[in-house]
Amino acid sequence: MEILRVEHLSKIYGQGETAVKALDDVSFSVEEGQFVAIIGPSGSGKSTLLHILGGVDTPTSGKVIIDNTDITSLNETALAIFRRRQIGLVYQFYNLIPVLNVEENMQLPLLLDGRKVDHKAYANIVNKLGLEKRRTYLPNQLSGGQQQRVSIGRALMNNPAIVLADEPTGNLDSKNSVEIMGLLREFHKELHQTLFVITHDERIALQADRILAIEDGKVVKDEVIRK
Amino acid sequence: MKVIDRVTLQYMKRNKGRTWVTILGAVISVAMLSAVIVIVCSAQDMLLRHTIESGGQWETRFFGVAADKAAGAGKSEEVASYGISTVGKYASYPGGEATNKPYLYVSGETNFDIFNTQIREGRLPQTDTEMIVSESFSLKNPDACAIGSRITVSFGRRMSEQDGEKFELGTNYSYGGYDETFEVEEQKEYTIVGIFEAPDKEVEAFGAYRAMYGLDEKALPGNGTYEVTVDYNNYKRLGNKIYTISGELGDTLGASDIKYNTGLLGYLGISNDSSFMTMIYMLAAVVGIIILIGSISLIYNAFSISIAERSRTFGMLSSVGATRQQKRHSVFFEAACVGAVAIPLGLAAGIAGMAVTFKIINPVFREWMQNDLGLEVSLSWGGIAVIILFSALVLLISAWIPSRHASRVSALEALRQSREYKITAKSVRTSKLTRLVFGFEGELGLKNLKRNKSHYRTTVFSLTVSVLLFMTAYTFSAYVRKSNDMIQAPLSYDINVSMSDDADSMDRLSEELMGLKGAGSAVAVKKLRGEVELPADMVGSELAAVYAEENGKYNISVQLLAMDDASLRSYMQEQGIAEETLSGDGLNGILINRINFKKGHEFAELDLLNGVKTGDILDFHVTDGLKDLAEDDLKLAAVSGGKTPFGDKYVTDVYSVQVIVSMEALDKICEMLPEPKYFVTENVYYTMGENENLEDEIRTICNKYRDVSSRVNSVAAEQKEVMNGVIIISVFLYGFVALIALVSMANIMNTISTGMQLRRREFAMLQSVGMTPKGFRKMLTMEGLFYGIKGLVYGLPISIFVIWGMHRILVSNVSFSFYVPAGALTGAVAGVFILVGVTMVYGRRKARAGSIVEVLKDENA
Repeated sequence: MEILRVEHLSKIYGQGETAVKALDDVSFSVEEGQFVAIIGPSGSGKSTLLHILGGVDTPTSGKVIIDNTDITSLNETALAIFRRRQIGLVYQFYNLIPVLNVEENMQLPLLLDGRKVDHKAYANIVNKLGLEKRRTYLPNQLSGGQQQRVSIGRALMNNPAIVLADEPTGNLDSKNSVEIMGLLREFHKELHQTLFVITHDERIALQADRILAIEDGKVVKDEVIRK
Repeated sequence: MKVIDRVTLQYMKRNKGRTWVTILGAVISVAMLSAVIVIVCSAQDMLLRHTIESGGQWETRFFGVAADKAAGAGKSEEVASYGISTVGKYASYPGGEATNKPYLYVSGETNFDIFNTQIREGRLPQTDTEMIVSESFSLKNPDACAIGSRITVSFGRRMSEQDGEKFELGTNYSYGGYDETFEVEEQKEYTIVGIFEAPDKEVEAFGAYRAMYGLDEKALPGNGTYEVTVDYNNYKRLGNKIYTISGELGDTLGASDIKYNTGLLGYLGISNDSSFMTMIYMLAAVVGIIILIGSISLIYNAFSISIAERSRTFGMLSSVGATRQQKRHSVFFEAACVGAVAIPLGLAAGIAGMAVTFKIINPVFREWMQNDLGLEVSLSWGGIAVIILFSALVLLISAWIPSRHASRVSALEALRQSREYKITAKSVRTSKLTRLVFGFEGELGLKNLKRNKSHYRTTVFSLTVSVLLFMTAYTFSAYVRKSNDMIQAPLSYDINVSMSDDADSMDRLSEELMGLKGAGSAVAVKKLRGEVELPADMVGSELAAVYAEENGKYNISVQLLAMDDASLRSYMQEQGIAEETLSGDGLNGILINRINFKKGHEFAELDLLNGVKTGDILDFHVTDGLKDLAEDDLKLAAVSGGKTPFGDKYVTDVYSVQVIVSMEALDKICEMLPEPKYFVTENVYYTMGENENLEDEIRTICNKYRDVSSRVNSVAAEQKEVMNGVIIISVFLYGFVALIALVSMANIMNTISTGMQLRRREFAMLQSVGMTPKGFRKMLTMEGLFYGIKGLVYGLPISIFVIWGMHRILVSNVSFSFYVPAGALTGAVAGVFILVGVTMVYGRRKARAGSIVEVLKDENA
């Protein structure tokens, strides 16, 4: 089932002479459960693409349809609600709310939605992430790797349509990187989670099902490497 | 300019908002400081002018100076002007014998201006046969004081006798308090050339009006000594040197005694016991310290925030090799820039603000002081120096600690921005209840409050202080107002003329006063004070409490009251007492037994005497303390419970019993007295009607009767006086509170908006996770709400406690029970939430600036 379709997406910053085309008429679609890696040099527009997909940035023209919803046509409030139910976001750093502990940070989308937490699902995720002993810790008491794990947990908690991760291991050492990617893959397999990961690390890209290469705002390569 | 300074300046320019808030805070602080100093200087200036207006500008007076030495004062280069006076002497004047001021106190003067002698009519005397008399004398003796008329006075000495020995009564012996005779020594005739007013001179001698004749310095009569009064050059600058200079001059003049113008010198702060100025300075110091503390907290906060924002820059400077000193320097440079702008602006603002305030309150002020002197802005160079010094000090202190923080920021810390205020699980813990009641956004809001202890404390502290000051000021004002209302409440008349001294003249004066038109109503009452001896059981407990029991009996003070016919008739009608009751032979009286008594805060009806009924006979006598002067049987023709048709609606003390009698009966007893004037007084009570000039007309009539001691009491005028005082106090109080509130507000806005700024990334992240704009608003609203509630939770109880303390202190002067004005509460609550609301709105706008993704990508956020 098609979970995501991007149609003629363009994003232009600035005006006139100083105009920068971050994305130039990008179109593609993704099936549910696919693990997509987006690679490209810096300034290629991959972050911009991710942000638009996550509903955090708006395109200049084009459409993004997630789970049959055209998110580019939603107003701010509807978009926010959509985000917390259907999209999981993981950034490179500064993901967590400093005043909330691990448990609260992970449950954040649900808390915002006012929904009851499925404790079994929660327990499952927490244990998989190896954080069961640190549920009441605050972010400033966790290491970088642990913080990223919490972010992943948060991204997965609400069973979103897609999970978007922008260089999730960029800030971590190699051991932690391996662990994080391992977790992402595991969740992807177990929950059939559609996953987008931006990375400049080829090793990570090769762990995905499909690689999208972006250069100068255009998709230059779209290769499925495993089914 | 050093590169660090350049960077600092650039930062300040780029963050205009932050810089201006800091400058504004500093300006307000300096302005407040200036205002306090200006008030002190201006008040001092006004008091000096007042003193000079009253008694002239002079500092020292030398006594016992010989005629040939007197003019020596002019030779001293310290002396700006001087005056030579003869020693004053009493002189009786024709027609003064029967009055209560039968003398003139006469002196010869070479210099009238030095005493600020104001000529009202005519001119100053030039020879020793020309005389000027005081205005109060001419008012009582208008015919004798026509310009050009001659007056013959008899100089002499007031003599009295005690234990067989004769002694002289000097100027500080009152007239009428002693048996005195006047021994005439010589008579002199003068031509009256002018009428003057010189307040200080007027009260130099008891029992006498003031008069002065001209004296020629070059032709001083050789016999006798003189007094030399001196005004020094630049007396304000001399300070304590006045004493040494005067000492030397005294030696030169051969003076036997030196006295100083303690009033003037006191206000300059150089009198020997200048406790007054010391008190003023201390008061100013207290207020100043409060301002300083408020200012320091505001400016410290502002700098702290500025440092926090620039921590990256500081870290970077570190990594490039800047020393701690250089980084500290940056902060002090910022402080210096702020100071350079804020101090002149604040000084100007303070002075201008005070000028405007004075202008506004001067009309009220003049009425209150009952003179023409308003407050004028006056500021000595010393005062300016104090302001600048203290302002600089404030800036220095405020910048000191932040500068040390700045200098310690290491490169790594700053670059990573990992140095957040330490958040612990305990510090941000909230109860489960919070989420239930306020929702998750609310819980987040509350946690946000708790995360930064110093921000939280600053804000709550500022709010609490604002609430406290506002409520205290408001309540104080309300209490003063209410107090005044209550004092006036019992009175049922507007003007009261009280007379004593000469019984016959009093009657005539009374009659004339009653004839005035345009009053609402008028009642004339003649009162005779006497006593009645009663057995203890007849005397009510309240009354008995003020007397001493003697052999089971009390000597109760009884006042016989007789009214004019019309008033008596209407009173009796009102009380339902038949008209004939008081007619007939003998002393018949209506006893006013039941009164409205106010004890503490409660009213009660009280019987003064127990077991009295119509027909009882009381033994009324008038005594001079040793023997009975008159006596009669007072038959109680009626016992009444109504209030008197004049006088008070209720009383707070009882000490005498009043009995209404007929005028004939009262006069009959008076005839029995050898000297009725000691026991009889007369009052006329008015209520105001359409005649606005009633009071002036009353005073004119009273002045005509020289032998009657009369006093005109206008409730309206008194009330106006108190109200004026209240207005003045309120203006300053509210002004002060408004400024402190402004400082607090600036503080709070600064703190909260900064907090917002620092959390932009976090806000962006919340939005990215799916917090709706509504949810975001709710979170910030909750934060504001919590701040407001905390501010009130601390502020209100403390305020109520302080107000209660205030009430306790005032309780002796205040006759109402403790209460908190509703206006204070509503004002405080409304004010707090408005303040917080505005700040939140402002902060929210800053927080939402920039789209989510921009903020997230912006590492500088």
